[in-house]
Amino acid sequence: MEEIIFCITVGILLGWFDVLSYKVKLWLNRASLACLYLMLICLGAKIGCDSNLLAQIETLGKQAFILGGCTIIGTMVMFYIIIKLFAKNFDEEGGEEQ
Amino acid sequence: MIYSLFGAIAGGILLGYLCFDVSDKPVLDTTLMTALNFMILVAGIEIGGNRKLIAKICTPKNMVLALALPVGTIIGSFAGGYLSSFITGLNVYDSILVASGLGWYSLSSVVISTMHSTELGAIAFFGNMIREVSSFVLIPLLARWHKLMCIAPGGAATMDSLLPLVINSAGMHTGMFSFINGLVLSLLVPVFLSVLLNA
Repeated sequence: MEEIIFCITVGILLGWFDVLSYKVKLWLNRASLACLYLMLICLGAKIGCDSNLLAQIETLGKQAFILGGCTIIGTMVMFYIIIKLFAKNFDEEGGEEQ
Repeated sequence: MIYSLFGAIAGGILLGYLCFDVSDKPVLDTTLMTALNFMILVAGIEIGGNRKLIAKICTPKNMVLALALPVGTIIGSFAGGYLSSFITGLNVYDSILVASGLGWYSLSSVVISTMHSTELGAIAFFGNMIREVSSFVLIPLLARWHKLMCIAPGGAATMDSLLPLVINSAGMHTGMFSFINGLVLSLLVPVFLSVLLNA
């Protein structure tokens, strides 16, 4: 976890002081997308190589669906309260720009 | 993009089934963490480079609202995770650990998979990915109700993949709040995961 915090801190500093050229940033974004796919393939491979886990995939999918849905509903309830408290006129004040 | 992401994980499962066994997991973990660290570095560069956008929102009223939204997302997600434990049969700790990913499926799944268990890492991946996929459908619908409400489902992804959709559905003003919400949540996800995994 320390590595992640170190990497995001170094990244923010590099972005803040704008030390990288546009071309380098473009290249980094492409490499980052490639890393995302590499990560997903490795994540899939970790699931695929574990026969016990594969046997449970249907149950895990149901649990993930319920959990994802509950987090969305919970957040929407909280946003409803925040809008009532702090942003009743948000749409009229600044949200009209599209 | 979402289809290709699902394709990548499906291909990975097939590759793992055909070419790897359980003893290869440490090699996969090392590859995962290296790729993740690189992605985090690039995400940090994007966050640091957006200071002008952040400066635009620095009025007291907007700052209160901009901070209330991520707080609401955190409380709502944790409450949703807690309540879901009664339906899914997962224990409360595991549910809240998955919910603490706040929609950042790539980070939460890798960290949980590496530091806790592969099963929960898979739930974190699918649960947080379902959150992002359903946000693509919910954002335009919720923006018709109230523009700020469309930020709610996306979690940490409201600063990157969902940001163009928020701006398109609710305007740039809402888009700025969406970015701040995603930024604050993205900074807090590693902290929540770290705290919960060391608890």
